[in-house]
Amino acid sequence: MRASSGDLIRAARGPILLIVLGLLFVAEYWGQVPFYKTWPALLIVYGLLLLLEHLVPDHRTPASDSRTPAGGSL
Amino acid sequence: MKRRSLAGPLLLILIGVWFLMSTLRPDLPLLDLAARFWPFVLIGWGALRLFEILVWAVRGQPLPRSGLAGGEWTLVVFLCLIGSGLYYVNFDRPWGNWVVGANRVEIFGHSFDFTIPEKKVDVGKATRVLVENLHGSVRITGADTAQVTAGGRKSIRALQDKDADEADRQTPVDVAVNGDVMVVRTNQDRLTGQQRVTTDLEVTVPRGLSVEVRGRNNDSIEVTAINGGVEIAADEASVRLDNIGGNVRLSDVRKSELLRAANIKGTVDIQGGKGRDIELDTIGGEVTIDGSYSGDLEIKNLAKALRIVGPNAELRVERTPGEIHMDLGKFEATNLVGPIRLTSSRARDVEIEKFTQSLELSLDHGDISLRPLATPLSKIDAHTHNGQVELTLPEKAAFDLKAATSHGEVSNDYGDALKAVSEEHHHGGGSIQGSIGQGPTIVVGTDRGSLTVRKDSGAPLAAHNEKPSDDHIQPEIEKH
Repeated sequence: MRASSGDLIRAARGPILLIVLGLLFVAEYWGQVPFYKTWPALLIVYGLLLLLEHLVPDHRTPASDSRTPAGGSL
Repeated sequence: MKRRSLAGPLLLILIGVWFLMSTLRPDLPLLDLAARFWPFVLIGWGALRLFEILVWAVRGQPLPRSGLAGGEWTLVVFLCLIGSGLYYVNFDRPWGNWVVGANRVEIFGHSFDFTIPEKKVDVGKATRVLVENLHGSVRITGADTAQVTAGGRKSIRALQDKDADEADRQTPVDVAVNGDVMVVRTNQDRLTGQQRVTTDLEVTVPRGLSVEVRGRNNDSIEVTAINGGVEIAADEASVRLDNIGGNVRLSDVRKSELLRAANIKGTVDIQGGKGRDIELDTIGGEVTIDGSYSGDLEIKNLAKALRIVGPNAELRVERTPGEIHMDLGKFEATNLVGPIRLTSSRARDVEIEKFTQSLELSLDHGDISLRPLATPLSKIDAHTHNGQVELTLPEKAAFDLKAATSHGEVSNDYGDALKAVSEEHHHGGGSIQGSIGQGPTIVVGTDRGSLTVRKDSGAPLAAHNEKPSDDHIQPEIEKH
């Protein structure tokens, strides 16, 4: 079965936030833009990802919902 | 098939490699690298996870509900805290580089020893010698010579011997005349690397000069056989001074195990200090001690006035032919010349034997034991809020006594010659009053504690030092 786009965006959310977090620190160390000024970017990215998840049509049928909780969902 | 991310093992390998490098190649700036590049670990981690998820999605494998599990986020938070902490300590503060660098040198470095080539310079018109040594010890000895000689040894802590050599080159010991001042410098402030230099300096100077020592963290500073004055300023040092002709001044020695001054002809002035022990022996001039000391103060044979000002006590004694021993809980003195004034706001027992001239004593907590010995007596005014009072007066002395306790038993050796009154209400209390001959006023008192007036038999103080047991009072004293 294929994962829906919504699932993909949801799964990608963590890694993308992690990358943004890393970039903000890099911006602080190399670009002299302090983290305390740039942290709201994390909220914006998170919000955008949630928004994207809602906008993408969910094709999933109930039968296809065989996601395992691997990856340790909360 | 259970999908596992590659991020965990890779992270473990990265950490392992970092620690391996730090043990195998301690000369590499691994801490700096970690502090600078840790955010890339976050980016790499996120990119790897993203890549994995995309691959799974393309292959049609089921996707995890969230890309990063709760445990992983916890790890991320720790990484951020440690990483940014490292960065700020390492690069952001002016002293950050020194702290991390110095710690690395402390942990991974070795100690290298160097002998300082001896330098001799004619004093010329100089009247003063200034010795500057931030870390290490200083020993200055006066001699019959017209030259200043500086030598000693240097101990340099560094990662490798070429760093140590470099540090040795950067910190030469200079001896130079500057006007009327002869300057001996160890130049540790010129050091650019992270090595730690400790210079143990031995200086011989013409006896007639004055000496000034400036240090920071010194193990010990010793000055011997100088006819001029001595001035010492250091944050941390044990100081030993012996046989000094001029005035001695120690300022702001904030940490010291011992300040010892013996055979000083001039004044001794110890200002703003903090430390453990002080020993003063045979001082010709006035002595002033202003600061807080947690150890023992041993003071002997002072020809002039002594003044101690501390956070919890203040003492003034006109002359000290005998000795004074003082610590946080006790003040013992024998053979003092007054006027004597002592106030103490912390718990402290006071025992003074053989004193002349007037005595003024005021305690918050603590027992008072006074034995003037010499006749004729002088005015005494002693009071404690909480503690026993024991007054031992010479057999043939004349005095006018007013002694009182508000809560405690009264005991009187003089019998009917003095009027003793014990109050019979529940907490006791009483007074001893009266005059014998024409003598000075003696006022002693306690708010809570027994009151004893003895006739001096001439025996040493320790022999009759058994205090009257006072079951009713004692527990209350100890409570405070």
